[in-house]
Amino acid sequence: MSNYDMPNENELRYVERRARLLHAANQVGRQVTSILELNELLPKMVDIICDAYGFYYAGVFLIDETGKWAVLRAGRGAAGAVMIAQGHKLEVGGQSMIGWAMMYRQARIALDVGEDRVHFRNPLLPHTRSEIALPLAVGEKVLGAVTVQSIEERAFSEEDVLTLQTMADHLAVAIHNAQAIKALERANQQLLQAKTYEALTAATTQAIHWIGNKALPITSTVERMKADLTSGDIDRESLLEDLQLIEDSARLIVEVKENLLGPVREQQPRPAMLDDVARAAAAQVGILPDQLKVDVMRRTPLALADTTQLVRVLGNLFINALEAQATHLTITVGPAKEAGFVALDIHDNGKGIPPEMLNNIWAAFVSTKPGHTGLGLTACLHVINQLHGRISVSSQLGSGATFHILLPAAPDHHLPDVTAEDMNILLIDDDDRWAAFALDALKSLGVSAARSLQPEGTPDLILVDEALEAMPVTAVIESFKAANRVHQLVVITAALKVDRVTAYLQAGVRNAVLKPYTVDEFGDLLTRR
Amino acid sequence: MQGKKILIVDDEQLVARSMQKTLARAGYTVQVAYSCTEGLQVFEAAQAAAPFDLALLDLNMPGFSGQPENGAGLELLSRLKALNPGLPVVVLTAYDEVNKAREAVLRGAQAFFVKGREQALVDQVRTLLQGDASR
Repeated sequence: MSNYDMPNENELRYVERRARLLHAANQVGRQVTSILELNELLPKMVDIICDAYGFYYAGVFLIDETGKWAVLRAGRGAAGAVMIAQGHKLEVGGQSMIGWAMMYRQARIALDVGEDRVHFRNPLLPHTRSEIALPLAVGEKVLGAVTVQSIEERAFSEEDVLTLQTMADHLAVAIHNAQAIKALERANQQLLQAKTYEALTAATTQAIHWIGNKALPITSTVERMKADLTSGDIDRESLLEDLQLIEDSARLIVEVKENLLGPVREQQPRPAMLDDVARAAAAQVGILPDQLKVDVMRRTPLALADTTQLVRVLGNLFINALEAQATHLTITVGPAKEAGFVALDIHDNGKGIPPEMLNNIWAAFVSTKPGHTGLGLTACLHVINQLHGRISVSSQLGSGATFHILLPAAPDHHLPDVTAEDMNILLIDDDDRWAAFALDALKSLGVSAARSLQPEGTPDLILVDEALEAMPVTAVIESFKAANRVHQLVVITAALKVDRVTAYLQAGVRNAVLKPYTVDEFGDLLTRR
Repeated sequence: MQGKKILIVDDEQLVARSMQKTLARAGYTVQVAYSCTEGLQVFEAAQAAAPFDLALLDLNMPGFSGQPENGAGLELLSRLKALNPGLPVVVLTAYDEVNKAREAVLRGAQAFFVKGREQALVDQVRTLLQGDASR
């Protein structure tokens, strides 16, 4: 090989350096498009620049909100960390090279920095012998500047300057985008706060007006009654009606309290058999067995729900259906299309919901029905949200409405370590899906159990379902009282309500407890009895 | 003044009934309707034989579409005024709404009453009907 073919040492260094620069430029290009967080992007940039060129130091300054100062946001190594901690900043248009580069939007090089009168002598970077300051600009806007420093005098070739400025331009675009996104996020946050405040104010104002309006007849009626009583002109019928007016107005206000506070009560989710909970809710609002059809699809898991709150939700929906002139309700329970959820659909054959009302029905204090709080569906939405479920409605005017509820499926349950041998239990219940489950569950626990609607045999414990289709639970309690066995009764219910539990205990039953929907819960019930 | 006929249109049944009783106690014959549509029907039905002397219209109630509307009472006001331009009308509202009050007056309402003391309403009705009598 001749001397002519052999690249000399300088040429080799040049080629190598050029390859490193191209690699660095590539890295910069990749980083600026993938990282929008400045605190992450800027330190990476200074590292890439220093590593690729073997420079002593690199730093990125960004202009602050006043527009007067460029603040160091990223700096190489320990010197950079100290300066950032000190809040190092340089004046835009000041004597520093950074200040000059930003002012004139041009790169500036000091090849022998010791003699450059504009160079800022930085004791933390004592070995700097040459420096280049590159403006960071997008269009007409200057965002800051980059400083690159070397321990070599005359370290920057024309090609270096060109490549570094190209990198700085890419970086400027990335900074501009990141700042724009931050500004957008801030604006969005402010808008959200404003909207939240606006919604809260509107809701509170609406609530105050609503309650005030309901209270109006109370004050007016009291005033009228006082006048009547003072005049001695007493119309008994009229006075009774006045008292009724006061009672009705007060009841509406109390209902608002119940509807607002009810859903806020702490929820205690547990595995629940939704079809049974629906039957319990139907029984509580007085829906007759022949008005209700419940279909359960195969392999329907239990749902995770607070059954007392769920009974409240379903009760509200049933009452709405009856008020919309529904004569029949169809409930379908099955695995949801979305994995991990159970679907509960409630269809009624009432008059349906007008299309213009469909978007409004979840809003508070919205009701087309006189004497209603307009909070029932708001409460339903709140309860279902708290249970991490979803509720929606579809309806065609004249063809009824269907409410779709999704609730999380309960995890599978294992058999508990409870054996209650020699125990004899009588279950007072209709022949339904829950009763079948209960008999299986008791059997798996080693308990002898039978189902009936009458007092029979000599059981150790009698469980009676509160939501009986065959007869009211109060009739069962009376018949056991007559047989002198009421103390053996435990009422099981999907929804524990203080007034009813008190009445059962006063009638002499042993206890009233939440209805078990898993073998675990049955085990607990037997242990606690 | 006594025996004059008043129409109340308000979807708040208890509020309407209370006002009806107070006005009846003051000697007026009072009929109640609970929506714009029903109010117009009752008013029209009475026009020939025994027309109303005054109307009290709630501002916010179900409009002619049947849905709750903000300011639905104003539409009913215009329709009643078209049927009987001389009819004194009081617009009722649960709270102060200056813009709505202005619009009510522009549509021909004689007064705008913020619901509260019913005796004040009786006084207002009495004044309006006296004015009507002197016309």
